[in-house]
Amino acid sequence: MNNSLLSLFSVNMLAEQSAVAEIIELNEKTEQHGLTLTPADAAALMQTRTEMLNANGRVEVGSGTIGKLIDAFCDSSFINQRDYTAIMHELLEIFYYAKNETLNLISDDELIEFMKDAFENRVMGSLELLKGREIEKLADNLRRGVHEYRNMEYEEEAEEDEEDQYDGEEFKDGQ
Amino acid sequence: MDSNTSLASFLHPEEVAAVQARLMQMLSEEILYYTNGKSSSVPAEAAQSLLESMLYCITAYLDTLPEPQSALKTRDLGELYQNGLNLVKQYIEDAKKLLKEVKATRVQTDLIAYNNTVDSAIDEFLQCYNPRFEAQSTTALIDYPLSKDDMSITGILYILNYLTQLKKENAFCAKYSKNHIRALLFSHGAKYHLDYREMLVNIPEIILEHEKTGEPKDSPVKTPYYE
Repeated sequence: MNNSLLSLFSVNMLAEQSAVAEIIELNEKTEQHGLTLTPADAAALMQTRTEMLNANGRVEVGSGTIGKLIDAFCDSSFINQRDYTAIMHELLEIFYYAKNETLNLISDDELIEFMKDAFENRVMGSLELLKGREIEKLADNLRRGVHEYRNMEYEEEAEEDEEDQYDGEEFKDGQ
Repeated sequence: MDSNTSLASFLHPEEVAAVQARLMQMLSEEILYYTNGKSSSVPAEAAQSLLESMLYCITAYLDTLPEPQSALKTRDLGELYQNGLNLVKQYIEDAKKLLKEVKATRVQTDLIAYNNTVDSAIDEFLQCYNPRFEAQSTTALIDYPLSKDDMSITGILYILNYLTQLKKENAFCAKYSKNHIRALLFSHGAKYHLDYREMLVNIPEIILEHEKTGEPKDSPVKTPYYE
């Protein structure tokens, strides 16, 4: 897409000031979990969103993704006020990266739900593992047309089976 | 009229800005329609294609109006787009009818490019053509070259043009016998050491080229040696 179209989207579609205000409004909910964003934090998130969209060659209608991520992750046991903003920046980056990697085969809501579930239950707050393992596996499953694409256990089970088999053989050899 | 550059040439700068803003609003609605509301973002290429598709439909409709400039200034762009989309859908039906007529008047020939184009390439295009999201696309495996082919046109309008011209060429070729055409093609192939069936040539051009040499229209042509 040419730059003029991307810039038109930036100017006309974001309505940046109202988007910042909408993000700040979410403080009412996130405060219950000890998390708040300042207007400067919200503006920085909007900036990261724009950068990530450009970096991933995507165009977005509205700026609801930030709000959805905040809404989903604010009750996480792995996020506290000190690293809240930094984690939100990384989650935005991972989100748009995942949209491309999954070939747009998964909806925004399902992707965010997947990210939250993985962050909370499988990678225990590790953003590196979320991106490098969980998202990669999800994307691989979707690209290969795996029906149960959200099931991350196949490989682990297979690995375990292999290990069991190996242990068994070792045991046999030992006899 | 050609896409958004020509659209803009009718307007004052402030009107251009208003049209752009309205287009962006329409594009955002189209993106959500495209993703079924399941994704608020799409790859930039997809957004570009959606925008081009909308502009194609708007331009196709404006081209049918006596005063496209005033329509662009006085009527809502969304309405122009909807009318354009309906028009493009009508063009698909027109193309299907035209293809039937082309098939009914086809040249009886072994020319592979001609037969593939008439039998399958255009059918496949019409089956795959998406007027809503890719109206501007002319993704078709049309190998047969026309004597007059306007390659600056795209989408269904190109196909309509192509079929209209092909029907005319069929009518021209109908004046000549099947064997005459075959012999001319065979001779042309022999001249260039080609299997005539695989040549990418225009049949009327071969006929006219032969006539320029002064030989009478249906003069006996050397029979291919394999007959």
